[in-house]
Amino acid sequence: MKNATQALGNTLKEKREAAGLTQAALAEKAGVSRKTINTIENRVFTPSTLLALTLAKVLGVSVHDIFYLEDEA
Amino acid sequence: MRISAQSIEKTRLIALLVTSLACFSYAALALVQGRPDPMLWWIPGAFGLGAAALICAVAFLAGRSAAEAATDELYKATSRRAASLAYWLSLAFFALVAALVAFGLADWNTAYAVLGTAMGGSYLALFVWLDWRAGR
Repeated sequence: MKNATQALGNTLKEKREAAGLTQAALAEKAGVSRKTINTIENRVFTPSTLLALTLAKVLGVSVHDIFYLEDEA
Repeated sequence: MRISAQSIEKTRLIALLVTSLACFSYAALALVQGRPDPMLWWIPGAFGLGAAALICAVAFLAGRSAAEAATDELYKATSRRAASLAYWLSLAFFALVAALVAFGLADWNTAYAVLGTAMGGSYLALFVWLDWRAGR
């Protein structure tokens, strides 16, 4: 069992760019601010489960395609 | 002209920065002058109400979706972090001002005015700092 301090990595920037979206466009579709998308991509902010699922839905991928535990990379 | 969530965030950042500066200016002047009313007593409150009115007006003009985006979970997390840090900073202000009163460098009326404005300013300044840092 891993501890809860494991870092959460993400491929949000890659997935967003693959979908042809800017940070502002993704933010608008997900109902959050551009700053929130920026801080998630830079791993400054860890999103809630609800926002992680929303981002995955907007990008048309599984949440596991975007978020992963650091040692799984 | 369409007002974006980013415009609300910028307005909020500037309005809260100005309000926190007004609070800290009042506290610093009260301490230096040794009196609870170094300027008109309602000035910090007027800045606070003005900031609230400005932010609400911009959010209203921007519309519901932009206003909700500007108050999303990053905003709530930043606000919570600022409040928790402001708690400890306020305790430090209490200790500092209590020491000044104990050594006769400030009277009780001045101490109340300093703490009242510095505590409010602490939360605002910390929110501005954390919000600005997140957006860099």
